[in-house]
This record gives sequence, structure tokens and C-alpha cells, in this order.
Amino acid sequence: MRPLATSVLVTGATLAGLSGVLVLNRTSAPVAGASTADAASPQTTTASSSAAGPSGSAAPSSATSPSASAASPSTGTTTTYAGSTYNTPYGPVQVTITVRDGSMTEISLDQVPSGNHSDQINSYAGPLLVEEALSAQSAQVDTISGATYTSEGFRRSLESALTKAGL
Amino acid sequence: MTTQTTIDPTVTFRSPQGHGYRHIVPIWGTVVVLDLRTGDRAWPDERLADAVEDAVATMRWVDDVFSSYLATSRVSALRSGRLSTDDLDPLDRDHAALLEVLAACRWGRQLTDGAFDPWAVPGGFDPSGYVKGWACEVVAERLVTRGIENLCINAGGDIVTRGQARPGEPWRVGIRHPDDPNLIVRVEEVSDAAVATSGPYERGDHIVDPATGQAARGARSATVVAPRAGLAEILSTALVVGGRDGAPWVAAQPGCRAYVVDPAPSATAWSTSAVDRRGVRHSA
Repeated sequence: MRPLATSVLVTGATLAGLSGVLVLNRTSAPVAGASTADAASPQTTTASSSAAGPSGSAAPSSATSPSASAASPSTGTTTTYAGSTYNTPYGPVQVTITVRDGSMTEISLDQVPSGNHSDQINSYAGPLLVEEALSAQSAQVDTISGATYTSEGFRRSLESALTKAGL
Repeated sequence: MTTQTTIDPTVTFRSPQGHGYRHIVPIWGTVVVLDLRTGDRAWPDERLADAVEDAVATMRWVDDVFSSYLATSRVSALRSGRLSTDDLDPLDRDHAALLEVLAACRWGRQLTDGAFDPWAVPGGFDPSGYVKGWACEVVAERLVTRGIENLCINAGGDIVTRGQARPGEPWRVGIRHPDDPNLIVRVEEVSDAAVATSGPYERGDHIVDPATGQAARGARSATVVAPRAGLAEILSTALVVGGRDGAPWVAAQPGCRAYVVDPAPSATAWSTSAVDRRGVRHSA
């Protein structure tokens, strides 16, 4: 849908490790006709460093080399599990977890593709108030303003993926 | 429902336009996204972590003081009558913040002819909407003070920006279609400005028309760009109540503009300034 497929690599390989440091690797895939898009340029970007989580649970094992963790794990039985969809400022997102040898090795925040159409804009000038047809449009944007969404979606999506994974 | 996620990921990304950091904070019953851009300077991990930690601590403090969902908050004390506005001590940090918000809400009620009225909600005074914007400004200022000059804070769809998204480029804010979260209906380009969008239904509650006590029906969605988020919140909420009659409230405020989707079933929208052919609105 838009170039914000965000892959979260977890340094702690267990669920408990979620509260630790997360290194995210944004892989940007330019998509035609995206109704919304992430700010940072369509170029492929790489994780350059890790940062401690804010809630005091700082960096238990920042030993993970960012560049190494950005690369895909090579051995072991790897399975991915997709959670339910939820909405974010960047549109609908789904949490996908990767489990290797019984431990979660990766959380991905994946964009959920959606239909997109663009209508022409009709507008005419008025003194104070300009009326126009309500129309959807496609454009590159940095962020989205809209009705409030909740953090529940993220948690539910993650939990449903964990449930599927049996973790 | 009650368990709060412990996931606090910081996204680090690099592009030819510079370094960026994104941090997601589940708080205030929503999700707050800090999008920090440091240009060609990479930030040391410790300095970044300090800034983010301070931002999160500030947000938690705001929650502690203002949340109408927390029985221990100052706002809950006001709502229940355990605390009177007369008892607020301007030398107390929490009380001072509450006094500031109370004053701003009174001002907002006046400039919108009563359409914005946090006192006219079920259960008594609830400044949640205003506070969200106000608090984002507080957080933004703290981050700027720490040297992060380019940032965008998105608190569940209400946005505060400082500086630029990329060198020479404003932040491009898509306005969500009121009926379809996957579509945008408008792009607002902003720099050092805030964007707030209100709808008749938010977080399961509806905006009340203070004049009738019923659900507001002036707009399906009201977006306001303003120099500061508190004012954007006041005006966008008021426009959901007042609809087109509220255009003068926006026009009267320097640096403010609105984009409003009319109530269903009308397929029209209106704004307070012109639109170019790409659908991009520019600063008034």
C-alpha cells in the first residue's frame, strides 16, 4: 500500500524481551497509487542504530549488531504468524511475528493493502467558505490526521499472532 | 483491555534526506507517534534515548493530571467535586497546568460562541480533547529544547509539527476520509503548525452540542490547521458542532484554516481557503 513496511527486530528473543530494545528496519517499497505514504523517501533505508526503550527498561542486550540483525536469520525452523489488522496514523497495519525454534525473532508491522480511488476535485471560490466535492485522492504524505484510533488494536493484533504461534 | 502493551519500539531510519527516528507510545487511550528528524546529523543513542524518555515521562505526567479515566487525576477530582477550582494553587506544578488548561478552555468557549464547551459534557468538565493538543505542544517544545528541531507528533490523529520534514519541505499531513480510514481527502502542508481533526464520534464518545445536549451534527469531520494544537482542537471540535456557521470562528484566528466534511448524506466539503489543482492547500 505505501512504503512503510516496518520490520521490528527484537533483541530479546522471547516475549519478555519485547520490553527491551527494538531495532526496526524500514524497508520501503514504492507502491503506485498509495493513498497515504510515509515521509522518508522511497529509497531503501537501513537500520543504523538501536535506541533504548523509554520506560527505564533500557537495552538489556544491545549486543545485537544492527546490521547483523537487519539481515534475515539463516538457520532454524522459521514460521511467521499474522495478527489481526488495526489502524495507525499510517493506515491499517497488521502485526506479523516470526518464530524460530520456539522463540520470537521478529515483529513486523505490515501495511494492509486497501482499495484506493481518486476522483477529480471540483471547487469554486467563495468569500469565506469554499465548497467542493468530497473526494479521495492519492498523495505522498508524512502523517495522517483523522479520528482517534486506539492502541488496543496493536495489542490485539500482536496477541492474536502470538496465540497462533502458541507462544 | 486493561493490560498496557510494554512495546516501546524506536524506529531508526536513514535516507538521503537525513536521519530520522520514530517512537510509538501507547498512551492517552490512543497511540502517540514521535517522528524526529535530525537532518545530516545522526544522534547518539544516549541523547536520543534521553529525549524520548523525557517526552514519554511528560506524556505520563499529563495522563496522571488530566485523564478523566484515572480516578486519581486532578481532573477526576474536579469532576467529582473533591477539588474546587478555587483551591488550585498556581505554585503547584499540576495545579498550574490545570489552571492554564482551564483558562484556555474558557477562552475557547468564548471564541466559538459556546460551541466548544468542555463543561457541557456528561459527567462534568472534561478537557481531554484540548489537553491532547496542548500536551503535544509541551512535548514538542521539550524536544526542541533538546535540539531536535524537526519533528512531528501524531497523537491519535492530532498533529503537532516543528521545522521541516526534509530540507526545504514542509510536513505533508493527509486528512483521513471520514468514512474510510484507508483514504485521504486532503493534504495540508504545515511547518511549525498543528493539525487537528474531529468527528462526531471519538473514542466511542460523541461530541455534544452544548446548545441541545444532543450529539453534534454540524460536520462529519472537521480539520483545522492552527499555529498551536490547543487552538486547532478548540476550533475543530467547535466546527463539528457549528458546521458551516463556524467558518467565521476560524477566519477570526490568525494563521488558522479549516477543511470540513459536511454531514451525511451530503457529499460535499468546505474549506476556508482555496485549493490548487493537486488538492494541496497552502497557508493563508
